[in-house]
Amino acid sequence: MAATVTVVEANGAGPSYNTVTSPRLCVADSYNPGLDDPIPIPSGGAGNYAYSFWKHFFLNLADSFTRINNVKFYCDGTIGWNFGTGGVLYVGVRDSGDNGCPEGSYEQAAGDGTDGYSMVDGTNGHDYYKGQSPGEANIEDYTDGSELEVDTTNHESAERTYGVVLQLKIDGDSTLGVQTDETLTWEYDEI
Amino acid sequence: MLDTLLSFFWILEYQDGSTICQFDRLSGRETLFSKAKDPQKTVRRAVWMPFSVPFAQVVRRQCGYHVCCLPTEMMMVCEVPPDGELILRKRHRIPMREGTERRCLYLLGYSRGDEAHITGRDNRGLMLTPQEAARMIPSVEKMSAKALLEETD
Repeated sequence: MAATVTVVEANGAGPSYNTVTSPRLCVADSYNPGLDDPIPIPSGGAGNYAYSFWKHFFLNLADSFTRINNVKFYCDGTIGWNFGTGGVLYVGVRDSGDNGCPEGSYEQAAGDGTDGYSMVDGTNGHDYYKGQSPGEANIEDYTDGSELEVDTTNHESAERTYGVVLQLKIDGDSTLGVQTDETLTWEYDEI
Repeated sequence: MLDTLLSFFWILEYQDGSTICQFDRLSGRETLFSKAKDPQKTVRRAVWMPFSVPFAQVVRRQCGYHVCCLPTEMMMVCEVPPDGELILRKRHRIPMREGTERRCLYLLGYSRGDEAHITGRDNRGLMLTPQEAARMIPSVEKMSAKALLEETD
């Protein structure tokens, strides 16, 4: 067998891993929220922000292969969501080395009862990113040819790679409704 | 999200004339690259070969792969110089979007000192441009960045 590679989302304290094909950002720690738990648009107009719960995604490597490495992540350069003037789809980044989050540094997403905690919040943020400067970056900065370096480890057995941590920040002038699908792409080498 | 079709398989030819193929010609049994490549021997030529219809059936039956048959003229061959290092890999792209097909790029080339030569096709046989191919090799990207720094000093 060659490698069987799937994208999995991690949830819960454990965590548990579930294969996802079309994940949705929301204000719950759920891999399949449907239309439940939408991100509430803050009152007061532009300059007032709310956050989704952050989400961890990993590549799950199964079956036999020689080596998998150079795991990267990118988008097409534009997130076309109506998330307001200051809205951003963030991805967790490190000051140096691989930007991906190791499984051992997974941290369950949480919020204050209204929306999620920012992953770089000094108190409630994600421990693997909140101490970095800045710890998060706009996913639009990473495109085909300029991808986010997620994991440079040589994987030679069935396991999970480092993951990406995504979080949506919306502004108070966002537009209510289901947003259009955006394609985010994983890339890796296999031999 | 659909599985990637297997479109090419590799063949290595060593300096002594011996060859090894990713799939056994008769049984279709697969050999992993790490177990196939003999570190004591120098690769003279490497090939990404499209599947013939009969061989695709053999591999599909033995390994359960979804195999795509492309025209044989899409074969990729690389003559590796004695002091060159073979580059042979598949680069996968998995879009996180429902119903979007995975893409796989089959890359082939060699590096030697500060230079690297690379070509490739995707799983539908589409040839990469030289610029696309060059971007596929991290060492080439690093070399480009270094050159840029030197120019601005």
